[in-house]
Amino acid sequence: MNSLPGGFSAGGSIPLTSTYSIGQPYSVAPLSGFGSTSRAYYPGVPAALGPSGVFNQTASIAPSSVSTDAHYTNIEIGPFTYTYDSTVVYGSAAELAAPSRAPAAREGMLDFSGPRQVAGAASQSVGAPGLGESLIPIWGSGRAAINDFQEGRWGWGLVNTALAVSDVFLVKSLVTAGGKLVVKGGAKLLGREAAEQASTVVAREVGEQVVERSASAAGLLSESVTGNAIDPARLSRIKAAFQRTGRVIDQSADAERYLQMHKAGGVTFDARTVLLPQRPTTTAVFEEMIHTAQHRTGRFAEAIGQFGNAQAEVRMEIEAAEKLINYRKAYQIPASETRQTIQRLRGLREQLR
Amino acid sequence: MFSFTVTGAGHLPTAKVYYVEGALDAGLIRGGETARIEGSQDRRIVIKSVALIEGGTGRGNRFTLSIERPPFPVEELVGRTLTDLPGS
Repeated sequence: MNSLPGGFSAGGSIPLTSTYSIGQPYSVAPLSGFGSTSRAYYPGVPAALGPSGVFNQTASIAPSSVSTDAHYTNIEIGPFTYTYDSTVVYGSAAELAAPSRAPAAREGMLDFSGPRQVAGAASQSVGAPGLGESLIPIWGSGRAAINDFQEGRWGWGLVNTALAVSDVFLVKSLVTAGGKLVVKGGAKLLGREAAEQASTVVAREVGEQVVERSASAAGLLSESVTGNAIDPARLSRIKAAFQRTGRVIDQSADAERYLQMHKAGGVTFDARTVLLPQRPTTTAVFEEMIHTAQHRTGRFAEAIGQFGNAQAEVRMEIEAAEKLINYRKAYQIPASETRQTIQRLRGLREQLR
Repeated sequence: MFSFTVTGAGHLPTAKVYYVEGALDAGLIRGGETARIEGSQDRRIVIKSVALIEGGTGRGNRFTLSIERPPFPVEELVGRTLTDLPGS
């Protein structure tokens, strides 16, 4: 067993610091207490990994040392695929090491950055900016854009390029304002523009025509994403993983009745309790999982304190919708559902204007 | 200081959730707070969390709270107003 930051332990035959080549076999035992693994991802490569197999792309396994730049995500982990060893534990070393982050990482949940960009030895990209770095105007988005292009994510590369450009105007406005407190407005503007551009690009990716902002925001808020039910076997795995630690996904007749009565696609009461219909969409399942993370990390409570209940709720919905869109491939969300999420996201954003 | 008018209440046995729903008339409300029931001198409830309801109708100032199991039928809260307990 190898010790990992944050109190994790890992088994398996992959040493913590190694480089693996295409065709090299591997075998990894699950992290203790993490349940079974369904799959993991290489950055930008849709190939799924099982608990054992053969690498199909050169991968570098990050060192176990705790530093902000040490990534454990050279092989990226998909949702609810939180076994494997340190090479695929969700989040950076720093995130894993932080006590407050450890539970989230342990659960492989969705409140980190999702599939991360990798700055491993096998990667030729500049690497994604770290959290602090990403907040630096121009530099953060610029680096993210370069990384996106190098990793073949053209859509997000364009988005981040646009962000970098808008950063220029933001900085200019800050300077022009002569030190006045325009940060808030600027950040709001920047965030809004970025979000709009991002959703537009993603909308194009999923084949949607860009929709005018004519839809009723209130109407969108009251609609759940519809679509085919998630694969029952997949839902069972998710449910089993979620409930392994005493948490509950209630799909009982009572829950169904409650949801129908409220015309709701799902309810997250807290970090441990979710109601889902008996045939939920993929979107509904992952959205509620994201909401549990928002509860668990205290972000929802924090937002309530900062913005009040109504706006905090909208912000959590926006955050969840953005994650559903950003990680739609990892979550295997059908394009038809993503299109609805994009529309819904626009409606939600209207609520904050 | 919050004021929350309860319009509905219930229990979901499988989820082991007791909940109240209603309108937040003033203030803000978070999990972990103890609420006083107006007009009931000794009755208190502990709010566990504010629910996030996906696509639910009638939002705005309307919220659903999960609460700790009250020592009385939860339905008795319907029509009552909850306010925060000083110091909670």
